[in-house]
Amino acid sequence: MLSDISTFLREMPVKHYLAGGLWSTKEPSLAFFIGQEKIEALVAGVRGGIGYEGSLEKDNGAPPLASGQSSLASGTGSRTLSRKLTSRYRLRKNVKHLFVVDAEKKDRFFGVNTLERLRQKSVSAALEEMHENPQQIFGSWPDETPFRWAILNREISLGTDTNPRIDEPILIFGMADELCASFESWAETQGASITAILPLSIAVLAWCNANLATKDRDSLVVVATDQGAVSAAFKRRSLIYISQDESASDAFSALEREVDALELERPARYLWALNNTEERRSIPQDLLIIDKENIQGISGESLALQEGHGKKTKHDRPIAHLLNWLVKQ
Amino acid sequence: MKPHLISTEVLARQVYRYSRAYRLAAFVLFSFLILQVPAVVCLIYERQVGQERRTRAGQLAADAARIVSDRRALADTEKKLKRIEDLATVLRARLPISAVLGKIEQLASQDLALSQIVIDAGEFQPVQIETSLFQVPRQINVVIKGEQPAQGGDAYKHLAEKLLESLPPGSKIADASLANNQPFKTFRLVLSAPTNGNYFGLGVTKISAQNSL
Repeated sequence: MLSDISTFLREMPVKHYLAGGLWSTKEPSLAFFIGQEKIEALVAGVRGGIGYEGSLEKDNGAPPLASGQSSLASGTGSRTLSRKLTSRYRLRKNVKHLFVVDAEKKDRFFGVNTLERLRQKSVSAALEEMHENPQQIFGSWPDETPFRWAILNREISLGTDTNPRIDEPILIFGMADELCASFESWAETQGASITAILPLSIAVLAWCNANLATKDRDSLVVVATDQGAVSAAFKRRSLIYISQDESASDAFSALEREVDALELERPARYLWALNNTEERRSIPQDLLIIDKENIQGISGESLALQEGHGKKTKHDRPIAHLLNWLVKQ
Repeated sequence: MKPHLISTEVLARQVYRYSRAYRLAAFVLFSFLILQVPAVVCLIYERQVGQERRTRAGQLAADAARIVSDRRALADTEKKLKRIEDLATVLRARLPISAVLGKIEQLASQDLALSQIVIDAGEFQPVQIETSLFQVPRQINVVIKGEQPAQGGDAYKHLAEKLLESLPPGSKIADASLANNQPFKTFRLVLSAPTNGNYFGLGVTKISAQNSL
């Protein structure tokens, strides 16, 4: 009890409390997309996106890149990046950060499994075992790279507790501890709290399952990023397959081979690409590419967000819609 | 959204931000601290006042030491002044005889012939000053003898009354007698006056400035 009190007195976020945190927990969010060479951010109030910053990687106080590389002089200026953004968009000083990271292949892991096959009774037991002894779970795992782990239900619900049956598919994902820690320590320098750290592909799959017609029809989704492609298969909204591939075409080829084994009926095919893909010739014809031309139809709205210069412009790139959707979850 | 991939340490710290219990605890703590502000201000003020008081006491002590050292140089003068002060009781009990004589001269009419004026001190009181013992008179007696013509009336009484008016309050005529001799009558006047009275009535003026000495 006494140690709890002394810890509280020592760690108490005085600035946060004095900036209004004592009365209200409604805080604006800064949702960062962290790429290998690019950082973008959606600035959101309580009701959603307000502003968009397209290239924060040049800012002195920018967060670390997905490669783990820090920016020039993280936060040595008089004002932190978070403070600059909240001032620019006239938001409260206390902010929450959400990091969506396009991590390198070696720094991320995705898998669909069941608790039964993992020989675990519960999600918490599985997480503990993955943290303590990943070799036991995955058969082989490099010792030198500690990972952080999370488990989502088959619907990829980011906001609910996962409590599946032992034979139900679950999504296991992980990211290098060092990479996550770099975002945590950067957020600490900004005086911000962290909502979550999500791998880009997982965030996209969650968005797809919430916004595409995966409930009505089996679906194959490929998420193409700078770090390769992630393919996923949904059977009536339930994630049943996930795999990492080099490119979108490889991912679709792999999915085509698995369609029968996965017992999918005339699946719809979707491609979510971070950048304009040049591989369209080698990917299926009946494919719906989620891009700025059709995103308004999928998400139901066009995003008009303010930029640094103060004018509102349309931001219908999939990443902007993804970040806007995530801050509302 | 669930806090995916966030370390337990960070989550534990974030609980301080969002948990009602911790925010309430912080509110109570801040309120307590704010309530201490007047006491702290008072304490600071008291410390400042104390500091100023100590500084002032130091200055006064230095001044006192300076005054003591200056006074040491004036010790001899002080001793002399003390002697003068002690002598005041002696000096105060004196009669300006020339003024008395001058007054008698002014007041005596041409019919009167004065044969004797005796001014004498009486009712002595011993006063010790340092090692000396002084006999300080408390009363002055003025005895005037003379003659007036037989048909001179009460000229001697007039002199006695006028002189009494000039003497300090508390003076009195102790004797005014007339012997019936022919052709002149001899008279005798005895007046007594206190020594500590003022003699302005005799024409003595107060010294108003030092340089008038």
